[in-house]
Amino acid sequence: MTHDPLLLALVFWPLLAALAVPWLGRRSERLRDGWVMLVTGASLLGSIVLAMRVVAAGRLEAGLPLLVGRLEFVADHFSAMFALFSAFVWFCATLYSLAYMKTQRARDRYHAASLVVLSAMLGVVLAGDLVTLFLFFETLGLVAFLLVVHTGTPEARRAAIQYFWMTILGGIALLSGIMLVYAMGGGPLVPATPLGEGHRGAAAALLVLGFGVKAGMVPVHFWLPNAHPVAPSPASALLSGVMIKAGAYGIFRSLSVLFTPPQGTGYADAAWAFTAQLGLTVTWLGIVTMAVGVVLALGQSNAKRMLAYHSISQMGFILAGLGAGACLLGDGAMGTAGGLLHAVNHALFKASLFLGVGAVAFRAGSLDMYDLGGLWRRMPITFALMLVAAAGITGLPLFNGFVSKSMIHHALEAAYADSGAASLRVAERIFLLTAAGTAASFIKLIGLVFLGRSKLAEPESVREAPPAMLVAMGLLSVPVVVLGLWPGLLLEGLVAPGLAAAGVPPDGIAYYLGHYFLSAGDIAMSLVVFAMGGVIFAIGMKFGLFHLHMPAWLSLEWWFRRAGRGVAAVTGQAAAGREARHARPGEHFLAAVQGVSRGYERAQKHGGGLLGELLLAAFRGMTLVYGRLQHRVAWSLRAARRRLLLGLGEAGLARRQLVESLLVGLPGSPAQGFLEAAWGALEQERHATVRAALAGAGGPAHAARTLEQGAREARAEATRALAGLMAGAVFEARLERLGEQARRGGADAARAGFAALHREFAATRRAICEAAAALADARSRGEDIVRAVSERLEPIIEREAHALIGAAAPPPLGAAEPVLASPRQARRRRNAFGAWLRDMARLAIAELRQHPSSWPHSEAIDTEPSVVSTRRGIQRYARDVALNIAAIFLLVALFFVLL
Amino acid sequence: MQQATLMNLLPTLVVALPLLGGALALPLRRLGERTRILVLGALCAATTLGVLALVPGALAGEARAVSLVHFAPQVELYLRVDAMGALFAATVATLFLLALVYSAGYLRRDGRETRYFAFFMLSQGWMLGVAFSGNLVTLLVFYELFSILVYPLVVHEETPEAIRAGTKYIVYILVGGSLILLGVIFTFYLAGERPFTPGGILDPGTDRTLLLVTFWCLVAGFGVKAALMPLHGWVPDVHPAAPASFSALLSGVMVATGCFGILRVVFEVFGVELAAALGVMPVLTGVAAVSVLLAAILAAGEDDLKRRLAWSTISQMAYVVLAVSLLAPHVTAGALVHISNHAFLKGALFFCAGLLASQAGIRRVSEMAGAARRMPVTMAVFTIAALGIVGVPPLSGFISKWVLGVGILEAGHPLVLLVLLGGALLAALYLLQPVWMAYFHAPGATGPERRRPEAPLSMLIPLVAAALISILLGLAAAMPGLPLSLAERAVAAFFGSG
Repeated sequence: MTHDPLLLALVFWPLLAALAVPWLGRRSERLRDGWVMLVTGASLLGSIVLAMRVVAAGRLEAGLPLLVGRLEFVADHFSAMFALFSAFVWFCATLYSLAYMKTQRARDRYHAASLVVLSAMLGVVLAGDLVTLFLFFETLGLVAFLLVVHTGTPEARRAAIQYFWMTILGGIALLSGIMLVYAMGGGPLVPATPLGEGHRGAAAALLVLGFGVKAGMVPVHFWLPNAHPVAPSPASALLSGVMIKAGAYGIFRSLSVLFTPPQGTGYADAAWAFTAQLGLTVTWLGIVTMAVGVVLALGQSNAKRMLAYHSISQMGFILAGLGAGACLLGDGAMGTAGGLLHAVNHALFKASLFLGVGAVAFRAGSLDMYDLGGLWRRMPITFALMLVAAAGITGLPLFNGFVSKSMIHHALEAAYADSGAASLRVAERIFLLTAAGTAASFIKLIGLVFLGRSKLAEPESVREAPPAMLVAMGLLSVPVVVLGLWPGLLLEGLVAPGLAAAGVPPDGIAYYLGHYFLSAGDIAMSLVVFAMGGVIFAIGMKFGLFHLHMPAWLSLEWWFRRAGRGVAAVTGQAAAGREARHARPGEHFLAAVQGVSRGYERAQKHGGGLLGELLLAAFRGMTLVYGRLQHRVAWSLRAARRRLLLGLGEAGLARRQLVESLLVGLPGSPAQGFLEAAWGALEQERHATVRAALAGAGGPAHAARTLEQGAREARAEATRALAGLMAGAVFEARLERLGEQARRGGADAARAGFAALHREFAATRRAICEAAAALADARSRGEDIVRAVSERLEPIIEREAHALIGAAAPPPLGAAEPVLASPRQARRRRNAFGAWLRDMARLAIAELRQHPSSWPHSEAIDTEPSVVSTRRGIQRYARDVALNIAAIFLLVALFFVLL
Repeated sequence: MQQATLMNLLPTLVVALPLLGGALALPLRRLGERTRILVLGALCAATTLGVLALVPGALAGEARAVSLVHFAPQVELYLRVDAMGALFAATVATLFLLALVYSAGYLRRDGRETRYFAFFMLSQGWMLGVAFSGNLVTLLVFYELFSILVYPLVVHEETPEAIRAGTKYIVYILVGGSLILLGVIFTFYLAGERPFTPGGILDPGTDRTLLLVTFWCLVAGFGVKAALMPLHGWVPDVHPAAPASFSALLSGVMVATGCFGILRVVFEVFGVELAAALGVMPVLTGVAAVSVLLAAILAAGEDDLKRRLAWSTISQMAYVVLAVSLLAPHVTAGALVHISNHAFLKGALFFCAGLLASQAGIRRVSEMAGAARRMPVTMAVFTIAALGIVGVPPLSGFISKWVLGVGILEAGHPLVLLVLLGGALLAALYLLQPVWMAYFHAPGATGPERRRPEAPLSMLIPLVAAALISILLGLAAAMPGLPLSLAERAVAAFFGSG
């Protein structure tokens, strides 16, 4: 184990370099392009050096103290191989993108993302333990999102959303698997650490599922045909060529390291049985994947979509190889080597194919195979390079695909021979059929795009691809041929030593190279398969079978999309739901089976829809019930609070009334209250009468200035005394009468009586004034005028008594009700202490300003309304307080008596 | 007799400095706004440095205790620095510093900010007191003070909805506080006055009913603050109503204080054995699991951004309670680390939400289309924080999820892992949708990219700092002195080996 910082440099150098891309891109595009080529070229050189060092030293290590403990990096032969072809494809794709991206926008973002993804890819293959692997795996998935969504078309965005969710789900599955492995005591990837008992099956399933999402394995493959075509062509090459291999790498490491017992364990051990079982499962997953991929690929018209489906199919080959290798245990060298080699090969020719198709689209403007044709004349070099790549993928001898496919085929045969299970024979047959289908598909691609008659509008305008693109494709085609002729370069250079180091006897490889490679049997098989492909192609084109499509509900994607829509609806994310609904419309139905398919549709709508609706209803019901419960609780709390406040308010009111009555005394009956008010009014009237009499006395005095001061004063004094006497008598009489009325008839009678009296006020006042004026002189002379006064008084009082008796009749129309100052109003006036003070002050000043000789007597001040009401209030207060104190004394006395 | 060295005074000092700052907030106004902010900032920074200086000692397991006040024979206020307290205090102090800088730029100068700063600094002091409290009485005192005295911060805006939210908050907190008080009284009755001890202070032989009552009183009381469903009702209303600089603290550390209380109760009042023997943990697990998932679902349905983040806080903090209820060492370490990591991630998210609301008028997720064009830095930080909460490596959220996950599996509850990952999946749903809207949604009729700076520097710096801290806590998680090491030290003490 040698420590080598080259690993760290390889992984982190593109990441750091990516930081410079936006800055450089703003300054100069050429500078940025040069920088990007430099970085990818350096990565390629670095991976070559790494491979050489690994071959020399065996295994290299490095570590960084980050995250939970340490980021471990390990490079063994397989890592070096993966790093090598990843860097190589990246280099070529970046070279291609310099020309291609001229027509795209956001080039800085593209290049920066591309470099970060390269860094993540290298981190995945050079990872030394599962946490490091997960870190770079997630980064790979999430940053590649930027590549998928790059063009920004609605289709790209839909595909990107789907890609994103699949990445997240796969990441969660992977994380659970990794956590399980750690909980079982494992973790480091190389060398193998024995795992304890426990949830081994669950961990294996989760890991395979998590890596399988990235690898495009069935049943989680359906994001791939949507995501890979919508990316720009160089990005598609990277996605299909390299990125999905990260998933394959992960499955390879799980099979060979995590779930393989440590070296030296006997093959009869139960642990090996688990490995064999897992290998078989992966083999079958691979078989299904390859079949599904190729069948769906045949039905595509969009060239990139077809290539994406073929990626799925070829990944199936890789998985079948790896699985067969694992389930063959000690003899699995050929299968594992075949799978790994196919990963390398696929990267090379698939990248080349994507770049070629991209070049065609770049020049001819269309990706639809049925709209192209006859391009071999206009784009000869592209045509030649595409032929090479197609030969590679279909497995024609002398090209690299032939080697890996034969190895996998032999491994499958060996597995069948080893276990005798009939299912493996079926698997082998499916393998051959898939290979034939691949051949048919690529005959179709080359035939429709390059050969035949051109269906373009202007075939003459199509030029050859730009030189950068041609160089890139050419570079990729070279190893396709080289590895086809001399596979031992990789097989014996890297794969065999790697297997040996891992404890798997590599004799199978040497055996293959010696016996099977370019043997007559293999070549014959390959040509037969190719011929079958040709036949399939011919039949398909003749009968239009390539336009058949399956009903929508047979695709898992449809179910996943419905589930996604359900989740979105449950959580109320209307926007997300709408986006998902507008994704790819349903596919067409064959004319001949329209009735059946309509039946399918109806069943699907009711059946699938019902399940979805039930689940939806359950979820909605739950959230609704919860929401309603919450609402109801809040509502009842609010109602309770309102009632509490009301009660408190009423209690407060009652308390206030109690305090008031304690302080001020119980409010009396309405009649009593009215009488009090009437008292005040009558009092005022009395004072007003006296004032009027006084004014009348003083009036002529002003005119007759001949009278002396003293005589005038005496006369005024006499007037005042007489008026006061008479007014007082009238007042007492009125009060008594009103009291009688109130006692007899209550407040209403009293009110009516007072109204009647009020109508007499003016006449009474006049009479009293006259009487006072008439008798004043006599009084001032000192005569006895008592009889005269009573003579004058009696008619007044009688008149008023009569008026009162007639008060039972309703008052005449037009007579206004006298407005009495109610006790509350009086209280309000009393409370307006400031106003009262103002009045007093005003009065005082006015009186002081007048001549001392005309100072009215103190009774005039007493007659001001505010003064009167104040005095009344004080009297009432004193009375009430006295009452309360008396009551308290009584209670205390009682208390002591009783005690 | 301890010497009055600086280190021994430090716990009291870090609690007292913010209180001093709070008291000075009003008098300092006459020196000018800038001077006041600088002085308060200096006090806050000094507090942070003091707390960080206490961390190495706590990591080494040194016992550092300070008795503050002795009210009565049974009632003593007593500060103690241990690993868990140091972790929480460091988080609190750092986040408060960031929030102070943010507040300086965020608050409008309308005269109310004096009140804000005063109570802000005071609440930092109380919260550090909670972190360093050495017995239940101290915890109770500081907890209640802090809970009630943040009311002016909650109703700072004085809009009708803010006042309503404040009233709701106070009612919930008072109810919770009463429950805690009841629990403390029961504890005193059962165990007398004893400081927090890692094995628990209650005698397992006492009456089981009393123990259960005490447990549920304390857990429910702290659970109100910890936003454990169904006691969570105040959170979704208070977070949008409070100003963004304080919402960050609310979500970041205030709700975590409730979880901190539950941690103290379970591990240092009851102890692991007694808690397991009582048989209450499965109930707590169920409640917490429901909280995680239901709050996450409700978060996904919210359109108001701050409300969505509030529900997210409820969900994330329920992870802590979920982890505590499993009573296993590694998962508890995960819970402690999660408190710390979540504080900075959620703080960053709320800072972003505040900026979006104040600079661009964006309050709802549906309005966020094309926001990345107008506010690139804000949305970049938002993306980082969102990915952190989802648990994408190498951010800090991944660390806490990892430790929690491995711990859950080691404790032998694989089904709880489903809850953990379900919460992560839902977090991706509700947090990455705004990111998608901001970056990749067609922006409609917005103008071209603005050239002027998107926000004042005083608001952008805490934003970026919180994101950088999250990245740092993720990348360098295993370094001694960082939350993971403190958490492991604390867990070692709780589970008896240290």
